[in-house]
Amino acid sequence: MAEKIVLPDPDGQQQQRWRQELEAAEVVAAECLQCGKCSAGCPAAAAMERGPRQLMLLAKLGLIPMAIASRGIWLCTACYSCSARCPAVANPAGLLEWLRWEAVRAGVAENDEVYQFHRQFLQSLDRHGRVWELGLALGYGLRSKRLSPDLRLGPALLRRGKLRFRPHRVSDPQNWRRWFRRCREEDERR
Amino acid sequence: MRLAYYPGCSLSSTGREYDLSLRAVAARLDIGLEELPDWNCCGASAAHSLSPTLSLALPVRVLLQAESSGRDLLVPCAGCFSRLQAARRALTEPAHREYWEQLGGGCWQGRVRVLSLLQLLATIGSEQICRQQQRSLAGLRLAAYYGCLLVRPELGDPENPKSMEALLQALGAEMVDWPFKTSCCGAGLGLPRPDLVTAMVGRLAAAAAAEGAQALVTACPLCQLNLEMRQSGAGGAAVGGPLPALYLTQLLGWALGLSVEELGLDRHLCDPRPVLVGAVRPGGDG
Repeated sequence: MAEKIVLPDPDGQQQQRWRQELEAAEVVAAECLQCGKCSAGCPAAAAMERGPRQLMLLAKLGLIPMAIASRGIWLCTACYSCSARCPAVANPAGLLEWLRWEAVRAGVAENDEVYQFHRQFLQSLDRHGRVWELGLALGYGLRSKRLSPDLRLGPALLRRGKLRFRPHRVSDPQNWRRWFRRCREEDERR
Repeated sequence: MRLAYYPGCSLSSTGREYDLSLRAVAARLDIGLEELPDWNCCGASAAHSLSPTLSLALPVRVLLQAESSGRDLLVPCAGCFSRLQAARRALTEPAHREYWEQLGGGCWQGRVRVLSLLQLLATIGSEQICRQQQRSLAGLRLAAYYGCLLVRPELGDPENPKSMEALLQALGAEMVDWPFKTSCCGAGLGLPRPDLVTAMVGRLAAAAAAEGAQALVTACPLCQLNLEMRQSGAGGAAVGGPLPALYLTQLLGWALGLSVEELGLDRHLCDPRPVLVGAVRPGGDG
């Protein structure tokens, strides 16, 4: 099916920013040979509608809006197999990471369950400075209305002293939250 | 040897056996561990998926604490280790150092190194460990599982690392040769996508079981919990029951004569004791 692509970027400013950011992320899409070693070794490619090879091609063509709309970018486990095996050293893992950032910035990630999980994780971090697993699992379950099968293991983990009833925190949570907010503001300034 | 120690979030909860066994083994090998006093989470893997700033600011903050301690930093969790390596790279780049120093609240002079467990053990060397051996691991058939972030990116051999095998063989264990030792187990997606991750773990466990492994060995708390928790739904491994997933430090500690409780061997969801007790003869040949 042919997709109509509209690039609302008449003066090319956005393309320019993408190019700069990809360069900073050490992604060299232009070098990609389309050999497919990245997708062949990707543990999540089978579940992605576009694997890393296709995403690299889209990046090479400057079709970033299509790439960030592809929900497979959220299934990347950041295992770096693709980058380790890339004969062109184009760094597909770096591309996927950057695409997630760009998807967040463009506001197209909201409906994704993995994105929602990461958000919940960052909330836990914001509050406590460390991750509180029990709170995270319950909070994510309630928000996503999908109780994870993992929660069934909760009692067994608690009995073995492997889950905390209460969060463990950094020493000065107020100061921590100020710092955390500052980092989030830095993101917006990018 | 004295090291700064960054346990990270998992080692104080779901990965407690790793923390217990690591501290016990370190004490036995005369390595002092000083936990960083006010450490924060490194952010893996949420921060580097959502926030370019936090992805580095979080581990930079940890690394700058270590820098002020002046000691090399031991980071047992593979996820944390990977992020701290990234932080070190960021701080080492002259163009960006000042920015990250300012955000992370400290001064970077590049004194401290970041060490994974495997790197620390390589520094110590298997001869020294074998000299203190009290139990042989003979009779154990194990599959060493490295996963992703201990070997990638840019750390030794990303496809066929062998350091765990060499050490455990020196202690008497038999190690299987298997193709999935650096394939990702998907731990980071376990909560939002258990369907995918169960399939990934199943494939790994089935391959290890097919080679006759009695247990998997890891040096990552995320892999360990994931391997232990998600075999049940998966095809292959269920034939002989799920394989226990042991920390490398638990096996080292066992060989060094430490007890079940000291090593947290009584805390697993999938009990490894039958495998250990069934195979290991006290006294040993160490």
